[in-house]
Amino acid sequence: MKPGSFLKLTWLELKLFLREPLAVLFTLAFPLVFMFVIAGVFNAPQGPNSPFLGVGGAEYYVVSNIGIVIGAMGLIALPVHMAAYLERGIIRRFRASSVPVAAVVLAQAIVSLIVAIVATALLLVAARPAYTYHFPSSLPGVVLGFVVGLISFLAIGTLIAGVSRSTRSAQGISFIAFFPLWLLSGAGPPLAVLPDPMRHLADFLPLDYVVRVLQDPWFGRGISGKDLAILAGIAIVATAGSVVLYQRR
Amino acid sequence: MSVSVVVEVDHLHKAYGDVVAVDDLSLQVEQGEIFGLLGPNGAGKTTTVECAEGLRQPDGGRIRVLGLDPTRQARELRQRIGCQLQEAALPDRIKVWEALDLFAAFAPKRIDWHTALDQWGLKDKQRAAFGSLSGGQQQRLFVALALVNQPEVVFLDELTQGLDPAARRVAWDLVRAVRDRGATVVLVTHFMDEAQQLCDRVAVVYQGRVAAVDTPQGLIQRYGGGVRVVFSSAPDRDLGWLRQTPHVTAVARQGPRVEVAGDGPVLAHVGAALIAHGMEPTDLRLEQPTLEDVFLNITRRTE
Repeated sequence: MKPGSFLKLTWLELKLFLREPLAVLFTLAFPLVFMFVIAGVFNAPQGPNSPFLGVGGAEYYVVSNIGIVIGAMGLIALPVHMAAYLERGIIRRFRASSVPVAAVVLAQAIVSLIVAIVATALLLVAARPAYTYHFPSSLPGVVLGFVVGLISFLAIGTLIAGVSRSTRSAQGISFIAFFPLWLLSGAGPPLAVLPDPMRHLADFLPLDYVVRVLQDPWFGRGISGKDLAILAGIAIVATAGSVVLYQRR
Repeated sequence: MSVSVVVEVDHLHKAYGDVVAVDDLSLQVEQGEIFGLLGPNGAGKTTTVECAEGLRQPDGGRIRVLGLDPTRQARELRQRIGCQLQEAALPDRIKVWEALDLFAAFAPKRIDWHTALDQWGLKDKQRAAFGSLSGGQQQRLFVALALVNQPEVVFLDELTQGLDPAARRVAWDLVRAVRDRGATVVLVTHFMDEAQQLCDRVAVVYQGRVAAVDTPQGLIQRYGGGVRVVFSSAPDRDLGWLRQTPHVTAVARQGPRVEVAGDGPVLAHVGAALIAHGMEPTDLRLEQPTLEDVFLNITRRTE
């Protein structure tokens, strides 16, 4: 593969993403709207009894909604896109012309990273005039959490596309997966106010870990190696599953 | 000079669950020819070609394309072949020029794809999105994409599907041009006229096997059932003497239509005999059997 050809593929995938209004809307606008609503509702001052990890409600939600950007990217935008590629024979067409599937998935991942960064920047800039939040306590920690969380969710999204028989079923799985994960991720009601069974359930949902690896280093609580390892493990398992599934298509 | 074989299929077998798509199929395609796979839908043509392209894995048998194993050396092979797939798509919002540009970028050679736009009549559609193209335009784009890496072997699966008659002629000329440039063409079709017009050799595929292989003319000679001399005559006229005419094998009459089966120079002999008997039919003509007759004869025999 010529080095320029992969760049060309990535650039093309980025253009194609921007031509898809629904994907753009969902990844850029949804986290923004949600952040404004919930941060507005829970704009409580910082205090010892606050459920918001010791920071103000608004700051809590500004940061945790970066996790929702990652969730929307990996659970909705990517799987629906890739499932359509698989269902319609686009992957076959590419493969027959020496464009490897792995290159297509990797180009998608890079596009997702770019879009996620833009969406995050948009979120932070839009929140600035309305809410007070502080600069991350550990920027490298936040960046690490962001990257590991995103890779993990892109792998999940790739796997969802692989198990889906059609674009329609990918959409179904995506939405069914997205909403509970989102509501119990800590970006909805704070985990501290959830009843015990829900909190235990949340421990098994991967989006919680994404929100945590963003919040913890941002609020000066360090970053948990265990959380990162769990996300990395999910990424490895989902990638391995995808490799098997995509080869059969 | 010996002719080299570029596609070699030996006893290919492929089933999807209980359905046997290809039973036991063998064929050899020689370098520089346009080789046709002709057969009804479901005969196993597409499966055979997809195995040769490395898109499907055979259950049994052996395939070599340009000396390479399509299953184990797929990556190397695809750099050197071109594939137009029967069922394929591009993203709806990709533009014509973007698709050509992308596929050219993945080809091993440096290629200018702009000429392909002209050749395939896509010049004024180059900024159009794939999803907005008509069926014929999409088809032409797929063929242009199959040729963009200047392949040594091109597989064209239902090349003229969805093309109007004028566009079909253009497509045939382009396929001939591809062959004249030195490439070998494997053409899957169920159009008899296409196979007859375009192919140097044709394999008639039926029920997952090759029922016959030859040049279109050779197939017609072997399986076409001979030529027929046809003319009109009053139904009550006695034509018993026609049977005695040299090279005539049978005479059939249906109302005014007289059909004389025969071989070799039968037309000249029938003409001479007619004049000798004082008959000058203005519609005397020779009807050549076509590939369609071949096809019907072969499939009837197998059943």
